[in-house]
Amino acid sequence: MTRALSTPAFGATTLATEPSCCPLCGPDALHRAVASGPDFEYRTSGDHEWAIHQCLVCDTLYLNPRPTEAALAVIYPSNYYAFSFSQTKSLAYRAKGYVDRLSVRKYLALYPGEGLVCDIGAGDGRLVDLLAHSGALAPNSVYGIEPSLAAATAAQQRGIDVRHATMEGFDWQPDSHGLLVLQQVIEHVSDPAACLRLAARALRPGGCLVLETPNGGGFDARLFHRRHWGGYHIPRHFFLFNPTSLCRLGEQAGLSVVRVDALPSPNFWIQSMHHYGSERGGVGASLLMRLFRPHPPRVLPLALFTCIDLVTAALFNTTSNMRVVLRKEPGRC
Amino acid sequence: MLTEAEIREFRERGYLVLRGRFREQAGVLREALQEMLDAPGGAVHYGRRFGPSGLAASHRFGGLMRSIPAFADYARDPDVLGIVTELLGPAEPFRDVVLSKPARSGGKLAGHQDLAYWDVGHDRVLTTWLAMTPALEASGALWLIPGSHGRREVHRTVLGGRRLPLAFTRMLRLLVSLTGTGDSPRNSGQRRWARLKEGVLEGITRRWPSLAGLGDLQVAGDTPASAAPVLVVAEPGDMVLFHGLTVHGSNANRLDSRRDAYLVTYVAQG
Repeated sequence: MTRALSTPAFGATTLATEPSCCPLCGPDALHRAVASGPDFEYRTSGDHEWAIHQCLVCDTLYLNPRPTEAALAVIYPSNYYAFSFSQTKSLAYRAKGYVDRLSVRKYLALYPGEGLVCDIGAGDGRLVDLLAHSGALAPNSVYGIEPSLAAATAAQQRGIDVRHATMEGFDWQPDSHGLLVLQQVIEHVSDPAACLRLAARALRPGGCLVLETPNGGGFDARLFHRRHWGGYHIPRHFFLFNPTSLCRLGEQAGLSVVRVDALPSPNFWIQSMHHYGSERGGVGASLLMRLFRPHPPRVLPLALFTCIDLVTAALFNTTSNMRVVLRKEPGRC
Repeated sequence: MLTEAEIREFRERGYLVLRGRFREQAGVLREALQEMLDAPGGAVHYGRRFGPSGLAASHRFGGLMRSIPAFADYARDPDVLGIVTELLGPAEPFRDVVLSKPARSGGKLAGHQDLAYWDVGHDRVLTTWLAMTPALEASGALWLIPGSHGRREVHRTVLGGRRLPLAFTRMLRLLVSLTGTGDSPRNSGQRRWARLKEGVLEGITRRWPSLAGLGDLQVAGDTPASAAPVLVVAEPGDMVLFHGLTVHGSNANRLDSRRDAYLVTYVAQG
């Protein structure tokens, strides 16, 4: 069932929406509305207030109702930050590139030595490029898939193997992959459980699936939970998991949990401060919005919040970003 | 209204099952509960416990009849009050709670007498248990021990299968009594304690699910062989009325749909 928003969005276009539910516990689970807000970053749906619900069984957060597939072209505008990451020259993004190179080392440590490597939701191919040039993988064994035609084409023009496809529509060969990466992707898809089942099928025994995604139980998520938390990324983040719910979802797909790590997420802090400032009014608000602009972020707040997250990760193993590694054990799936 | 046989059955067995009498009310209450949850900043008391899977094993929404008209209407429904009056004499609703057991992860509730939790001063107390959803043997059905309402049993706190010393149980009982009935705080002081209690218990059971019984009491002695528990499989709208001393508990929910029941406890006046 779909319905049009009452508020016209993105000029004369209206966004069709559909009801959502917890991907782990289903529509029968008790849930409550815990937050609401507009698209603070791109205003793709005007001032429309979207609602975030919390499943009371597993604490997964989800956008309800959410945009339908037909509305994706509207909620991901052409200037969406992930589509042109590699062209951005700011210091903050170069720092992100350094962090990505560190992540690649961790991913490669999980590679079982055989099988293809795929970055799902590859954007402009930044991670695929890093993996392909790591020297640790066979030529032509690394590629990415990306649902945005513009982003996939941009990557191909730079010589990076990024194919235009959605995870659900891609022709996955069973037992073919040694490593699958879903970096900040699972929260965007409309059926995460189906995606994990597809990933489980595509992995060879011993292969690993790496998921990086916001953690709805992080400290800043709690602080700004009513409205302004950057991790909501309204209306593009459909689901926000926590370590327990994501691990249970992976187990339901037939995978076993290898490890869960808390990752620094300074951007969510910055976006939260920016969104708060955007509704505060007065002189302080414009200062907040300038200091905590989200795209590209300034180096000083980025460094400050990275330090805060590193400390909370070390002390409590919780931030508002997490990496969950799942493995397909031999003889399963 | 009840028949003579139904009244006699309640007096002899300590409970009575009324089939399908409140089907319409059960539907209204189910909708009212979800409406309350859809409206941010609900004013009722809410608590939950976690199970070994890391998922919630139970939800409790207390004090609904004091803040949500649909629940207030049901608690004072002339049919319900009429039935309660026939069994108890003139009575007033004293405490209410929706107990929800999530699909697959819903935990079981050990055998207990409700009056072990409250300082009412007499035994003329009964609870109406209304099935809002189906309650099957594998989805959290209620069970009761017929004739167990004749005496007060000793209750203990049981953690990980081990009974804790009676003094520990008494101390916990004292702490719980600060929150009034535990799940239906009446004033701001009780609400503060109740929030604190729920926050602590939720946090503890999330981290150490084996401590889920910390806030619960259960009958310590062995029940007589003649008093085997009777399972009551219920459909939405079925009501079980049981005496404040009737030993009862409920099964775990292993099915794919949640089990909700609305309980209102009445105390005889005068």
